[in-house]
Amino acid sequence: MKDKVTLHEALSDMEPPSSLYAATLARIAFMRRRAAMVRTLLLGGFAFLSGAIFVPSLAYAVQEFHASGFYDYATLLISDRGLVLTFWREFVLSLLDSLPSFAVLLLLATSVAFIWSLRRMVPNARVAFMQLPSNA
Amino acid sequence: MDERTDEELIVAYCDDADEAAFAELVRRHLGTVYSFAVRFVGNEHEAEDITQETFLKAWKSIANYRVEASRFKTWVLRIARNTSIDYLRKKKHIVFSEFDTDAGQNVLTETVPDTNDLPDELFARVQDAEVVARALDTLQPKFKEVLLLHYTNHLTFDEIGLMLEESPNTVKSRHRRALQTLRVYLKDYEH
Repeated sequence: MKDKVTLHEALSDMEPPSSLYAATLARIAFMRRRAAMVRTLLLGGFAFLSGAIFVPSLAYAVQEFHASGFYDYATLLISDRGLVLTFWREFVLSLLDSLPSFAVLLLLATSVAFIWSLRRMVPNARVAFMQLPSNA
Repeated sequence: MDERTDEELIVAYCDDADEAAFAELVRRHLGTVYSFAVRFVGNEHEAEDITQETFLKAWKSIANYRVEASRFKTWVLRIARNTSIDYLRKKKHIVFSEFDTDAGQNVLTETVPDTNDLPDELFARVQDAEVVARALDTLQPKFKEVLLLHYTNHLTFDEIGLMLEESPNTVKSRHRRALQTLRVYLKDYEH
């Protein structure tokens, strides 16, 4: 008579194929690299775009600083320090009033965007294009 | 041998990008997920795909895992269960016991008297584990998964209830009905 089994024995754990562990990790590694590649491309594109806008925005900011009179006020700090100290409140208000806000914001935004996207792109590029150590 | 707990491994992976930590989680639970999948879908090759898909989904959503909600084993088995059901739906492999009506009632189990809950040790000893596997295939997925999670993956009824978002009484009821259905099938088989 054949040995019989209980439900516990009949439904016990099964040993997975020996290659399944490595195959599973390889699949995860592939997806990780693919996701990193997509992020690298997107962030790289964003960095390129923000870098491309940075140069003209810098030129625009310099131009606006001169046109608004901010530069003229600022140079008083060097040319007539005594006047600035005497009328420091008016001086500060004049500086603020002449500050080319939009140009400054644009320059700041493009700088921050460029640095942010570069910083995020580098670790993703490392994952996407460098050989990863095996975890098997 | 990595002696960190599952939760420590998850923290190491999420906070420190420790890839070896996630690999250890896969190593620990691979057998559990594979055992469930192969018995649930009844095919080893498909179970391998489901196992890989399960850990891929776990990797993608590891940041959403909350240790206070459930054990990692329970969480990953939930993913395995959902992935297996999706697989069966795509393949249109949902099988039903021949005794089930459209309303979800089982004519046979409703008429077979069950005066007390028999533990599995008193379950009819059968000739071959393969016969049990074939009997399992006749069960609806909602009954089969309770048996597998309890006997193959060693989850308690409370854990199964949490995982399936059902009350423990519902889980116990499905467990009883599953055993009744198997009992009838195996009795007929032995005759």
